[in-house]
Amino acid sequence: MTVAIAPQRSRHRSRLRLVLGQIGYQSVLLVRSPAGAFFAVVVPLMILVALQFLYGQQTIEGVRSAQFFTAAMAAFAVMNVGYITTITGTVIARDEGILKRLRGTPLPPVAYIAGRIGAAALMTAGSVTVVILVGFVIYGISLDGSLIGVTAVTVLVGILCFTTVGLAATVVVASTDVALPIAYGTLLPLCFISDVFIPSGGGPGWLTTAASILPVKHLADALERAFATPPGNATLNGGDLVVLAAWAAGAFTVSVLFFRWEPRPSGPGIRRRLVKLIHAAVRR
Amino acid sequence: MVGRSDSRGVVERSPAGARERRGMDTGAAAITVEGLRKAYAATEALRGISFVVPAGAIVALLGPNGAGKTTTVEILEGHRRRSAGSVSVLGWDPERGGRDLRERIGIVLQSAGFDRELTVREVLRLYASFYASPRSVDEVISLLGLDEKRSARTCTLSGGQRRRLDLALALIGDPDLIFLDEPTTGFDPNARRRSWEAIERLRTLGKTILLTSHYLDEVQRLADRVVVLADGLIVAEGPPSSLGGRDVSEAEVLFRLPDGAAFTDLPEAVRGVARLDDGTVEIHTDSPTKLLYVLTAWAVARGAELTALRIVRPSLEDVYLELTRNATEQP
Repeated sequence: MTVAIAPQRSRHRSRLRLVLGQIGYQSVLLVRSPAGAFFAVVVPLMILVALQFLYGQQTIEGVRSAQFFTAAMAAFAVMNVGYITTITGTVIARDEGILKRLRGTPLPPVAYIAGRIGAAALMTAGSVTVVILVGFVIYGISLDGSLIGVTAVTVLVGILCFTTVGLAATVVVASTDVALPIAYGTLLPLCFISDVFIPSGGGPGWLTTAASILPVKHLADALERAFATPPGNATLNGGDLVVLAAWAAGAFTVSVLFFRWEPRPSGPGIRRRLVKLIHAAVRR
Repeated sequence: MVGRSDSRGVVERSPAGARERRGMDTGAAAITVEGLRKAYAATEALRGISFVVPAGAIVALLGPNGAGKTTTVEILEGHRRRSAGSVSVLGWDPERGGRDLRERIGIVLQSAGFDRELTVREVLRLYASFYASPRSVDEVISLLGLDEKRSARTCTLSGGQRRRLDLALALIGDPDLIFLDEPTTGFDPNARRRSWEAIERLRTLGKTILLTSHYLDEVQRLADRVVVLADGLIVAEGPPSSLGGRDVSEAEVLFRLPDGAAFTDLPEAVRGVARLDDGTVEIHTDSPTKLLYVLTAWAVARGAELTALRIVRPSLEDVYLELTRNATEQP
């Protein structure tokens, strides 16, 4: 009878190096994929220009429209990179078998997730900078040190929130075919009820309540309010940031517990998937 | 370690340096599987299988679609959980081996893609960065014959080149054990041959390989041992040359009846066991030497030539088809 080899501990690469490597890798993927740049920069700029064209002469919530829309589109850029490209990129990688291949290597899953968040943060920093520069150079918005600081912190918390929510969403997105429809199909309606494109004229109460629970409104409000304060007086909107951080924590937990590394075999529909998830959660 | 019972003059592969450096005992089993079962909702994909993969050997899991090959390999890789039985891979339970195990195995999945935005060299560098002591990227590129494509985006590779990149990624961590799930399915003959050569090079590096395949020529060429799976059970196991007892089973002697000779002219000892089919005489015998002695003496005495004289043993394919005949074919 042949005896089995005795198990041996191996040396490992440090987690920090692996995370940094993943951030670099995910960034290259974002920068090289045409869709990445399109969602991050082109879409928010197009909408900024369109909204300015329509409402350019008006004052919104007491400030010039450009001031309001630049903040709104900075928030929209965060959601595009964090939520949209995370869902599409992750689901494509899963359907292609790339995630399953990664799972067979010593790369810890958390390094992959951290890499996605880190790369999204870098990409967002770039796209928000472009949006704000366009607002500043073309539409002459006012900008100062306190506003830049507040924007940086808010964008960082926002990207953490929307990337983790995007990762958590991939748990229920069945395949590449439905990734983009589901991503925009959930984000766009929320943007409309959350004062991203147009300041709300007040909707039904339940809609306002829904918007105030979900993260979209809190990111948009946090940035819009900072951009609406008189120069030099921008302050962090703590309440909004706490809600965003809470969503990030919840979504991160869901991702770590239920993240799927393999394409779904053509089989159980979303209902069975949810039932299985609930069973799994109860067992844990 | 299972000895190679082949006569192809393959280089003795125990450049034990690498293994001994890592404390791998060449006499030990790299994989042991005992009573392994896997049930999916209503079906039982594996119904209690046991086998051993000795360190340094190439073992093939052979079987029709749906036999349980991929399920077995994916349980060993840690991608799937087993329902029952015990499994040891390099001493680890794959469900709990974690990074320690994954540092030392390389996996070629049945189908897995690459990031289309990256070049061959970039993908390999990325994967090399996951391991504590990877092989050199350029060396692996050359080993797999991907030199011309090193700067090409992965989306421009042909099917064969993609499969060799799969193999390169499985090798980049310098693993002791490599899983190859149908490494050449869908290849043209040239691409298959190149992949076989690459796999044979792994043999000379002293790697242990568990391979799944439904190509018999592939198994015959590469494997030291074959485990035949059908319908979730092992139906045969052994070196390809003697699988299913084909080395000792009945031989078939065939020849064409010489001109001017009638079937009744054959010597009694031959005629008694022979069958005539359209001018060709067929004889099943477990003592072909004695039979040929009588037969050829008769022909020489008549001054006749036995055209198309041949002795046939069941091919690996015959044995395989016989062994798996009753297995349910599944898509």
